[in-house]
Amino acid sequence: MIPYLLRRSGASVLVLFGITLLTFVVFFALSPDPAVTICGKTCTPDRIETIRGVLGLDQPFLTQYGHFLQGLFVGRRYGVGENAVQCAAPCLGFSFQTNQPVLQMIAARLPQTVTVAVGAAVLWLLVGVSGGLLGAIKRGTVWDKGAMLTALGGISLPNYFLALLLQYVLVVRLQVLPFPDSSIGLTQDPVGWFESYLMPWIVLAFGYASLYLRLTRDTVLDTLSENYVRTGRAKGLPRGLLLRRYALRPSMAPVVTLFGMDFAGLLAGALIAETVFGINGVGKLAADSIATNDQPVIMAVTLLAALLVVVGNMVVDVVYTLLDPRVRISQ
Amino acid sequence: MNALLQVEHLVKEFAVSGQGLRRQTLRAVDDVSFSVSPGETVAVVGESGSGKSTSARLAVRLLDATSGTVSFAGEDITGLSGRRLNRFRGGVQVVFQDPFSSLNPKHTVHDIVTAPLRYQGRAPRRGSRSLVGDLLERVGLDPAAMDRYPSQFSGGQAQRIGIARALAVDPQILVCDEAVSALDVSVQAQVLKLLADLQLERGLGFLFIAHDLAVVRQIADTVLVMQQGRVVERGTRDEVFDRPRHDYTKTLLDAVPRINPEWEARRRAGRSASAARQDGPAHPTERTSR
Amino acid sequence: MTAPTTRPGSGTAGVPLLEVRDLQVGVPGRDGPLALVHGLSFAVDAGRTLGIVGESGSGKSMTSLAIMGLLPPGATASGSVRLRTQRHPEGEELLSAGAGRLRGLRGDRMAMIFQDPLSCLNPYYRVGVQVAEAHRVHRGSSRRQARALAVDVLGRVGIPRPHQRVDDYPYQFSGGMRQRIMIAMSLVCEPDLLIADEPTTALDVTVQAQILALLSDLQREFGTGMIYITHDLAVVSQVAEDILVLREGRPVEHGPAEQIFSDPQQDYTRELLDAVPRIDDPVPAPHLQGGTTPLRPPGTSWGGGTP
Repeated sequence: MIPYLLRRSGASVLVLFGITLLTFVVFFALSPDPAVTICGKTCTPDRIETIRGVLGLDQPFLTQYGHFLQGLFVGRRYGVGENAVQCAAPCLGFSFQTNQPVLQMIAARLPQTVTVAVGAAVLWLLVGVSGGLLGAIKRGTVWDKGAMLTALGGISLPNYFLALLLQYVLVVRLQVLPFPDSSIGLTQDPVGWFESYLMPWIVLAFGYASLYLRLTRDTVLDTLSENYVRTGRAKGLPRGLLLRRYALRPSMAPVVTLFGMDFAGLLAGALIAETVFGINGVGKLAADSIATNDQPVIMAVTLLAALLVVVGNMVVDVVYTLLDPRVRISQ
Repeated sequence: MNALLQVEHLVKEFAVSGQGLRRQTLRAVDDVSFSVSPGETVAVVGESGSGKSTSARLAVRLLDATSGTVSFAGEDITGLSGRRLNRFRGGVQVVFQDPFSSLNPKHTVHDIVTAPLRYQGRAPRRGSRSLVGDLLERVGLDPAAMDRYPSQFSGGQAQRIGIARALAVDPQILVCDEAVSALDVSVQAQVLKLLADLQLERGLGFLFIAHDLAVVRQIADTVLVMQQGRVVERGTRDEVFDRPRHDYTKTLLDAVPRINPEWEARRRAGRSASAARQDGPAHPTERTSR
Repeated sequence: MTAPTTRPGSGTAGVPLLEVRDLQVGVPGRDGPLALVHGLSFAVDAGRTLGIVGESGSGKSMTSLAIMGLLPPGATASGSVRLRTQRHPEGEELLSAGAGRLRGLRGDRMAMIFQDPLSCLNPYYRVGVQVAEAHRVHRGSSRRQARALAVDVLGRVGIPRPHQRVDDYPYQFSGGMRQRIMIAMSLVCEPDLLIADEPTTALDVTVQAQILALLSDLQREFGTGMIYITHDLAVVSQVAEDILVLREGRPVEHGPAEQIFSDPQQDYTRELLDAVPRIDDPVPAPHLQGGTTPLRPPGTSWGGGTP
């Protein structure tokens, strides 16, 4: 197991390096001159030069990349002399718009994103997996058809539309929920907190639940046709035990694998849900920074997303070996 | 007779994932040599893991050997590829165990039977439908079958289609890889008789891979017994079955279930006595068994 | 399972353990129900083995599934299948029993083992858990008791080092070992009836011999009545005292093994026996015909069994 983990970690690190380089190249090559952006409307060529010097934009590409990596691992200094600013590791730079350290900006918004992601994940797992299981064991009945129809709706409905629809119906017309306010902490006002996050959870969960419902249903149906299920029935096992050990457990591997990837992706910021509901999370940060071309923030968010996906991938691989004894043994 | 298909000192190693960084290898075939002459049936028997199927695949170049040589009609074909290998393929064909997974379910029987010709770039002289019709008749199927799909046939019929396909290129050697193992016993008997007739007609050499020793007894001229990749015994059929030398062969032969020979003898005696008699009643017979 | 005792089973000598009368099994077909079994009648005694022999499509597997109440959804069974149980010593009708009652009987009073032991064992759970499962469910044993029982049973069926191997997964065993595990699993509640559906077909011949010997020993020890289903006439001649020959769902011949083999009455039985290759006798059977096999009409299907 350990050699396997080491091999995978090594590969993941290489992938991450590659991603940092790629991200850097993209922004280096494609973005308009950031100095001009920072400078703003009232700009003089002198000021532009100063800014470029501070940011190190006049240096060759590899040097800039080197500074960037240095900043990530040990910290770097912007500018020279007494006006120099120290940026501790991991240094993600300073926002062009607000001049705040990007790391801080992300850290401040991470809790909201995590709340959205975790809540949605719990909801979609519960609904998707149980719905899929129900559909599989009651195959062909009205339960199954109803579940599949709902799932189809969930997959086809664009989530921004669902988000707007929910807001309109629940907040504006029926007035059962207030407009979401992500600044409410769980400890200050649990009810308000719950009310704020409910709609983003539902919107996110709806789409994923549909996918997971179909996946669970298909996997469980496959599993139910396995010979060992017949053996279980031949032993006279009660339905609950049969479902748990012979239907659900063998079907979990693909669901868990997919979940790992999806969750990692969600943690990187559910862009649309956050934007529509005004949740001040990493996703909204990403959306805003793209709109204002705030390069350091965009780069940082991209790196965070990549990191989460790569780590998520690795975790999923390890979990998979734990889930399937056959894979475990061959390691 | 001169050997047509000859394999010498074949070795096949597979990489098996070991602990850590050391790669372990498994010798599925360990120094196997044999030859098949025209009109001869060479049977290779063994249990699972004996390497018999792998050996057959090596002999037909479906797998590449780790070492050793394969020759056909005196020519070394071990390293051949491309068109020159295709010529060899025209001389040796394979009939597989499971007829339904070796026949493409989306193709008509006609397309299946003519496929080897097409892949080898040979167009049949008289037109393909005529050829296929003749082949199907020869293997005991209605020529109208050529426009149907494999799923519409029983196991025995599908296996006959596989045989027809193998015969389409007019090979000299037929490799039967457990070709009758998946068939009902009555169908198996018919297919074996078909193969025997074809051998007489066309002078085919057979490489017959099987685990069922009773079947092998019926059709083999030469028998090789394999265990864990090695040939532990070889000889003529009667030598191996009546005077086995290796312990493993004796174990194998002892393990085969047999119908009580007394009962057999009585049945045979009864049958010859009633050879001219009318057949029995049409209803199922209940005998008091208590 | 305590020290081995010779039990005559719930059926006393001479009185059948399982009585099947006029069993019909059908599945839904394209043009109405398709009958796979037409009117079977037979009985199984405690301590004896009935061999059900047939080729593919003979309905032998369907028969066993009907007895166990394991028919696929949509399939129907009619007739009478009576099992002698403690609750109903005169014979309990299985075909009309409720699902709960059948579940209670399965694994406890009647058990079944299948052809391919690898696919028949749950790959996600340890062997010890699976072996003792039926006992925990039907006898309410605790986890510790169940584990001790599993170790004991695995040893009985010839698994070496059962204390260690009880925690292994099915993948870690060879084919013959897995079938022994299946046998252990089926006998853990000491059922009165054991149905074995082609248990050795997928095994090497040397392993097959061992498994057949094991089944015979265990049957003697527990007095189990057994139904042995196979297409292999040589095997069934060694295993069964009584034989029932099936063809396309219909009974062809039924009687003691010796009579069936030495004096078959029906043409089909004779053809079958002639077609069996003899390892000790290289003379090919005289009746083998080549000739044209008529095409089956398109759209018809073969009922069950290997192709």
